[in-house]
Amino acid sequence: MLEGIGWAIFSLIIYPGLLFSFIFGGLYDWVKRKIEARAQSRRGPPWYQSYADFFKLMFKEQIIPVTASRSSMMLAPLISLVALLLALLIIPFGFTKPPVSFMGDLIVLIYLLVVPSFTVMLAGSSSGSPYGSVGAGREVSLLLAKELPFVISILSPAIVVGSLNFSEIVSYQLSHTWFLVLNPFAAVALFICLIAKLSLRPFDISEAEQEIVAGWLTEYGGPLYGIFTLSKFAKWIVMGALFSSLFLGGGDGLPCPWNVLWFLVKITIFVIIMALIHAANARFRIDQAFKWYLTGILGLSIAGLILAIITKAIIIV
Amino acid sequence: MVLSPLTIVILLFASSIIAYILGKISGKAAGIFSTLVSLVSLVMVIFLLFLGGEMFSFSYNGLIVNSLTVFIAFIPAFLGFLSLLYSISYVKDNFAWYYAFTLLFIGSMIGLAFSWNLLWMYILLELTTITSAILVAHKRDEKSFEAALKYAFQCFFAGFLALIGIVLLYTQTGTLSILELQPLTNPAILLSTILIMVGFGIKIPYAFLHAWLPDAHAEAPAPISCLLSGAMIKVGATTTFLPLFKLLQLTSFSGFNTVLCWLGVITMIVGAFMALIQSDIKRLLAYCSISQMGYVTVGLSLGTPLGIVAGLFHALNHAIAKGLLFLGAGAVEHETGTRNMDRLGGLAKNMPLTAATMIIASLGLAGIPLLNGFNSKWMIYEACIEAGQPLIAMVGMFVSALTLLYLLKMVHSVFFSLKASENIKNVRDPSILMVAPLLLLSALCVLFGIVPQLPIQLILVDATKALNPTPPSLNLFPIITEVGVWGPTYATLLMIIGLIVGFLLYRFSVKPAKKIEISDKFLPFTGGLAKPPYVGMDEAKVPSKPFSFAADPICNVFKRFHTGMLNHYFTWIVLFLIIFLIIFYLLFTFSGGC
Repeated sequence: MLEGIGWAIFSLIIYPGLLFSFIFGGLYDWVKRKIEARAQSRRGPPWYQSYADFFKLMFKEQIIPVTASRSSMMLAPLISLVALLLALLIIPFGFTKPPVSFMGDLIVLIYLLVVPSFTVMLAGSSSGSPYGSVGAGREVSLLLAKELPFVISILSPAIVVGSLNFSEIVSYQLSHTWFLVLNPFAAVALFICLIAKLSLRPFDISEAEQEIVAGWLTEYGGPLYGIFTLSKFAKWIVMGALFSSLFLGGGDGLPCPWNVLWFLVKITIFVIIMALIHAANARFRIDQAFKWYLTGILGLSIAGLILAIITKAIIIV
Repeated sequence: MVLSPLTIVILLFASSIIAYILGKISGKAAGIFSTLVSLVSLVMVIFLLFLGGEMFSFSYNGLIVNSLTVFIAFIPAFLGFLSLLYSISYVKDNFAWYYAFTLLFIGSMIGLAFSWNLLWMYILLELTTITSAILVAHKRDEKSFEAALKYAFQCFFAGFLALIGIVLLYTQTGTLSILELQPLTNPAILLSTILIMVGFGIKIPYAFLHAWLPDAHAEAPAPISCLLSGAMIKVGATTTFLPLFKLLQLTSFSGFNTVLCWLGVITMIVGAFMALIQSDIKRLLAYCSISQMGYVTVGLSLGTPLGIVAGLFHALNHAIAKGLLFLGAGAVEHETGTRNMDRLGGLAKNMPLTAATMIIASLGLAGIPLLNGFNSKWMIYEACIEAGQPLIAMVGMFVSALTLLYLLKMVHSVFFSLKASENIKNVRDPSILMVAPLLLLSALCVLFGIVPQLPIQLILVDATKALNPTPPSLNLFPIITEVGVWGPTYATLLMIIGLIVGFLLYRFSVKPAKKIEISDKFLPFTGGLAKPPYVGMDEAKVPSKPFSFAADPICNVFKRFHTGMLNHYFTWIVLFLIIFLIIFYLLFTFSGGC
């Protein structure tokens, strides 16, 4: 068990945890910015821009406004980062087994992915800024809209497999085929829910810079904002890995270095499509986002659920 | 036998007379005396825990000591002690009545927890209603009288239905002991089962039997709300499920289980949506209780060993967290004089201990991983999926997000948002007697979040055997069920390492660079439009609208049930009865018995 914990700590800090998600998450962040810039006929930033932004933030003075609740404002980015790093330990990263097998399953993951929304709320409302409050309120109401389709679509593969363990879901896809093919409805529904989880347009309602400055981030600057940036990088990796493992077959059972590379290719494609959607859309109002999620996407995810139940029944017969 | 449930109950009942006399002389003395008595009863219950294990019943075969009864009795004993401790500096008048009836209330709840005979159950259940209704009316103003009467009438009405059911059952089977009950064989027993389910179930409460709860919980003094919500509805839940388990044979999954599960789901949805639109802290928490009891109902109704462990564990976690929240809400009300969330705000700076403990409890209830509520909810979902009911798990997770939403609304508008109202400027944390229970309970929230194996191993697995003799297939380090895995202790270790790394990143990057002296550097950004004291900052508080957005149409449907007229509420109880009679009768005839 001791070497298990040593391995867990290694996974948390080096791969696929902090260091790895910093390097690749920063790269993906740049990909998103570059694509957005090209779509707007700008040149876009150089490849190291996201890292440069991060380091610049880390060497700034930390300012916490007098109206803020100091401890909550400091805890929020740390909790957000840690929750995402823990989530990374649950998702198998190209292999069939997750990095740390005794950490948790799909339900734990769903709850860990609610934590960033909660930290947004904590950050926004503890910073004592009116924009922060408004951003926080928007974030939690968006949480209400997207949570039901998110949960349904993420559990649809689990129903077919009959297990909540990631390793079994990935192994199942090895012996059958990708869940994207088996259950396209759930895949599309999850993909659209992940847009909001990544707070990209058309669902970046909580930090809409044209309306409410930076929303919940308004009062953040310096290292604490830097840590939020870090957790944004980690978010790219988590969401990409989640979608690739659940619906794109993970590493497809390739031998060791190739499975991770193949997995990274899948995440990259995921990021590029996300970035294109981000660049091509305008922002929804909160009520439009509600309507969108609670009609179309919910319907899609329920279709996915029914398909999953039918698939399960056919397999049993 | 000196140490028996009866001794505990008699001790509490007898002490209430002394507490009454002391209360006439000095409130403080009565408070200290009652606290000591409840401490003694708590110690006795804990002793019973180590003494119990094998069942032994008494000559009049009413009271039974086993892991389940001791576990359920522990909740009122423990919360009773903390509430009385809290009451010493909280209660300001009517000491004699207050302490006497609180002791009676705790005593009747402990007795109810131990009773395994339907007649005893009925008598003690009515006794909890009478004593707590008097306590709800403690303030003696119009609102609290109304709440107490509503509460008492509805519970008495349902209680009479239960009594009819009990009599009918006796005529059919000739026994009232839970141990001797057999699975139902004819429609008459079915009718009595449903009468008992409605009569006892009003204490859980099931959806549409819940109309008494918000008023009673909101109007009662804070320690009594803590007991009502933390202890009484848990005791009510097991009291309801004990006969149901025997009569409907819930241990083998059948249509009855499914119906009861979905009743639990409806309960959690109704509670959550109603909680979303409240502006009174205690009413919000009361609806939250209804919602959380839906989870407990789902867990118990599944009837599988894992489901029962999960349901009982959630009952314990909810007792801890909700007890804390009600006591904390009481502290806020005590210091600021209002429960209205629209008039509160920014208390995190003035009341740091209250704020920290209440935030921990809120997150625990909402199911943030590594706090207590998550572990039990996780087990409930696992049990649902194991039993082939993934839909219930999905709805549960959605309701859990709703829980986070309305509890964050409370946390935001009480502790964070800005409202420089005069009456809350000089507020401080209350006295140590009121803060100590909060600290203890929040420590338990964290402890059961990190080491859920502690209560599960100690008592819950044994307690499950009283309802379903099959031992649950559960590995504990890490928790591995048939379908999933979760290692909270390891996760905590990793989380702490992550937090340390993150903190070091923060710590070592802060360089006191060249200081830029701007006078308003530390003031929040308002676009430069307003100078202090920030015109418009008051309006910056997130209004209730964005939080309850889109939930409004659903909430309005549920709101219609709360007309405030007793005859309507009675009608719903009867309708509930008829609907379940039809459903269960159909199930009974088509499945050919159980």
